[in-house]
Amino acid sequence: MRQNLDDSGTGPADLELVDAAAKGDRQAYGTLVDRHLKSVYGVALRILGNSSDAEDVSQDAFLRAFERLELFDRRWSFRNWLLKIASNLAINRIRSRGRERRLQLKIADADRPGCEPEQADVPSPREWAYWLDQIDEAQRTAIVLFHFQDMPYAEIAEVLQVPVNTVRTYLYRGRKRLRELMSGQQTESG
Amino acid sequence: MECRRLDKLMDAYLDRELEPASAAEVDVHLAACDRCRREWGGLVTLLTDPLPIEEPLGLRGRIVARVQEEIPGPPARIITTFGRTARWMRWHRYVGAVAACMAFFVTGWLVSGWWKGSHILPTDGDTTRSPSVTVVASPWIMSSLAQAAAMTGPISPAVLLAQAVVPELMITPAAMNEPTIRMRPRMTGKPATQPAEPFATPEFHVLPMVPRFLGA
Repeated sequence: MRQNLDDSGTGPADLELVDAAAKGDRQAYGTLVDRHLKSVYGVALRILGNSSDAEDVSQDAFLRAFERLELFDRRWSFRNWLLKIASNLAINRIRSRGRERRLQLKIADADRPGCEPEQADVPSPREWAYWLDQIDEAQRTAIVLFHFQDMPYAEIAEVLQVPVNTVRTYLYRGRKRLRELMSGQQTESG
Repeated sequence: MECRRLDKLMDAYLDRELEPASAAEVDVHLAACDRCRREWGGLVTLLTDPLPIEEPLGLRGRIVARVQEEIPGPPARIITTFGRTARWMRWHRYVGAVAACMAFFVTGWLVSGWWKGSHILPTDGDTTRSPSVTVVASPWIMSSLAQAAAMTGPISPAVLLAQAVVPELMITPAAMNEPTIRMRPRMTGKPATQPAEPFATPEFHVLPMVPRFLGA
């Protein structure tokens, strides 16, 4: 049985826990992990597409955040700062296996044209793993952070190290690509 | 709502920038229109109602154990020191920018002290030239002030600073391509040795030093 973790944030504020953890309070850091693990794992999983990589990235993200607690910019929320770390780790992991990934996408594309998928083969719109896999990592990250984590444009821009308008462009193009794919798939399946 | 209007609103709808009333209209139209539901329904479902995620069992414990194993003590002090400095710099970037501007002016001020100035303003009995006027009247300073005045008008920081330090300065970009800098006569209390003339205050034209593109 898998467990669902609650990140309701009740109890001491994140900043108080950060201060305590920076002085070595492991229990405080454990509380922060409890609160934000769901978000961090969710972002990593949606960007990477598989649970094994997502678990590795989640561990790395929390480890790196603990090492760098003094660098935490208090203009951010601690959650969004963690998500920034997790997103960057996930993107780096994708890019490090870029060649393998491009080959996989080519094979996926080659299978699509000329194929008449049966209705049962068309993924449901809720199958985010399939659909997000069809767009590039920058657009995917922007969509994941904005739509699934409610992160504002300015913070997504900091995560991706691009201007805010570029974030809007990523969202627009990513959604447009997804819409074209989905409406095209629906047309093929009747 | 027409389908064409919905197509135009969908980006704002997905960006959560629509007013609640407009968003409700979109919802109603999507539920009722087959064409729009086929076009947009999948994307809306993906972004608003994806399949839930469940964390692997025991992930929390593994994370805490790994942090304990790899960092047995508090976070390293070297990170702490660097982090404090980095945070201070982030918060005080504007202070740093102002300090850099001040350093620029002070440096120019000191450098201009080396210039005796071939464009020293003539004086008359009612005008005394203070040492600071001599310094400011150097070609380098005057051309910089003229450029600043031409670009931003008399309220540029450079001009205001110069006027604050040297009250005799009166910088007015009379024409954008020919900014001039005049010296006000300083009231010394001495009787005038020459009759006052209109616009007798000497003018210092810096046109030759102003790049042409400023006057274009």
